[in-house]
Amino acid sequence: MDILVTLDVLKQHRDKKEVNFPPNTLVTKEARIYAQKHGIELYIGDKKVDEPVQSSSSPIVRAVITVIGEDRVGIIAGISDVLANANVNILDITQTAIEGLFTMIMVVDIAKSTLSFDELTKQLSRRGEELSVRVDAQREEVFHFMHRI
Amino acid sequence: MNFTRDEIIETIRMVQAEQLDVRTITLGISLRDCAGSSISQVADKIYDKLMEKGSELVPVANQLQEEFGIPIVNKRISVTPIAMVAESCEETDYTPIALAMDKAAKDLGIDFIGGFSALVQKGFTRGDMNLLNSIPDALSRTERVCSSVNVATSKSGINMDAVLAMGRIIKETAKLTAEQDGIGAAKLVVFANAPEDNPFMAGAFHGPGEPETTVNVGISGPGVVNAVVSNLPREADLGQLSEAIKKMAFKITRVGELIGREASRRLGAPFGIIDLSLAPTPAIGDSIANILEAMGLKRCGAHGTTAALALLTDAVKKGGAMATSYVGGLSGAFIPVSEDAGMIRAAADGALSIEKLEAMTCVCSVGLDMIAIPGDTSVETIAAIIADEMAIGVINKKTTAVRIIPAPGKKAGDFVEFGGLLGRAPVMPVNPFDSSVFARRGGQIPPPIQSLTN
Repeated sequence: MDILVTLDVLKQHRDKKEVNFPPNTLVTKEARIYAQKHGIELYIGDKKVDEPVQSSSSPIVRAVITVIGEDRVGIIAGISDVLANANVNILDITQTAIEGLFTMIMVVDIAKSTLSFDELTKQLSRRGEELSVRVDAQREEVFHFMHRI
Repeated sequence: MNFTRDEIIETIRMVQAEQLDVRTITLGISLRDCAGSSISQVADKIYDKLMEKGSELVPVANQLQEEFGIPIVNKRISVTPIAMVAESCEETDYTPIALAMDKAAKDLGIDFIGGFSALVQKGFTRGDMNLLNSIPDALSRTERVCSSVNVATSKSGINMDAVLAMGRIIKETAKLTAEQDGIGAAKLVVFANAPEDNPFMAGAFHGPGEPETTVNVGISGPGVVNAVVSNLPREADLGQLSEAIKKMAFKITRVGELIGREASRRLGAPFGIIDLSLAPTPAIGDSIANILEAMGLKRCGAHGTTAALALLTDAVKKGGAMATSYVGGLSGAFIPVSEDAGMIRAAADGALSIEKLEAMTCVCSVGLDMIAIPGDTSVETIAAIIADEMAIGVINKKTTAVRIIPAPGKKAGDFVEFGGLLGRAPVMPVNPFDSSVFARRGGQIPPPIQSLTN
């Protein structure tokens, strides 16, 4: 018999690590997302059900840091210092003066960062305040989604 | 570097200088399993379910805002139309449910909760009647609950009994919140062809055909589009204008798509739709009217405004549709008067009238939105304004809506203040001639010939 496995069906199995359904069962996407979130492995017959594909589920790897403000001594040193302490690798760096403003853009690898992204952002903006510049850090995906098809 | 410096600067500028944001992440939650025989039992079930399903919404939205550097202005929840959920109750006053929704919204830290709603395009059930009767009380005693009533569809025509009833309910709701200029009516929308997956308030509800939970995202970005249009040379023709808006709409929508996918993954709820709507805020520069003015109109409301708005709406849809897999909700451009600094100015200057706004609703995403009218406007006149707007939606197979505030004690030319995203508005005059015989006829305006599509 074909049955449809929905979220509610799966919730009855929420304590299990592995759930088996008979062959030809259809599992809704909603149920698969639930299973993925709660670490439940789903099997239909003896075939494992794939986890739902998420196009942006990769862990944070790269971020873009922008520094905007008045030019002065020690901006790069100050920001790099925060990054080095957090074990964040600088992949690329560019700086210019646009419309009289100092603008620095860094692309960094945060895969091995010792700080959470949240904490890193906080430390960067605190350092920015000391240097009287505005520092923003954003995950690279934003730029990817916006500027690449 | 994977991106050019200019691309990165563009994104930063869009967020920091041009108010690019994601207007809302709206979590749709089905309450169909919360029915029961007593109102207190149902209210408790609803509160518990909202607290369980919605617990992660605000933390996740804040996380996303931090990581991606894109502000997420509102966190909202939409629920199954309460008329359906509460119908099984013996009591006739559904206000306790609104109070439970409001409490859940406050405890969860969300901005608005929508779905104190009924679908009555063809007539009323007992639950629908009870809900409609409860609206004035419910909206005056809650802060974050929004209500909507669908009174017409292209397939079933216009329920004129419901239209007249809504005229009375709007007036009563405004009266009960008189000390705040009738703000209750700002949380109440009357719809034709209401979409089931709309993330925007006050009209959001979780339609009966939706899954258990779903994440819908409403984008924003009039400021960004305004900058693009303003930066084009004056001699750029309208084809070039449309092209530039399309490109920007694509970029704006991609941000929404990214946030929506991530939110869906982290909340463990399927991604529903992106609503491709340019939603203005009262902030200077974040205005739809300013875009139309940048196209070459002295004031929004001048002749040519409808054409300019049509071009804008179409370009936003074309650019946005390519940027996301699932488009839904209202999708277009909103023209809420009180929430848009340019609209407020145009209305105050006398450039914009209700009649012009009505014409604009033929080509915008919704309808007569956040318009303050004199407090002594009769119930029948309000009903007639609704009927006009519903007719536009029904005949053109589009969503239209009326969110109108008969500001108690105010007359044309006065100002009302709602604060926050709801903004402020000049009270606009209505046509003084009487329509009460028409409005009181009642019955059903039959569906138009265009609805026979099968």
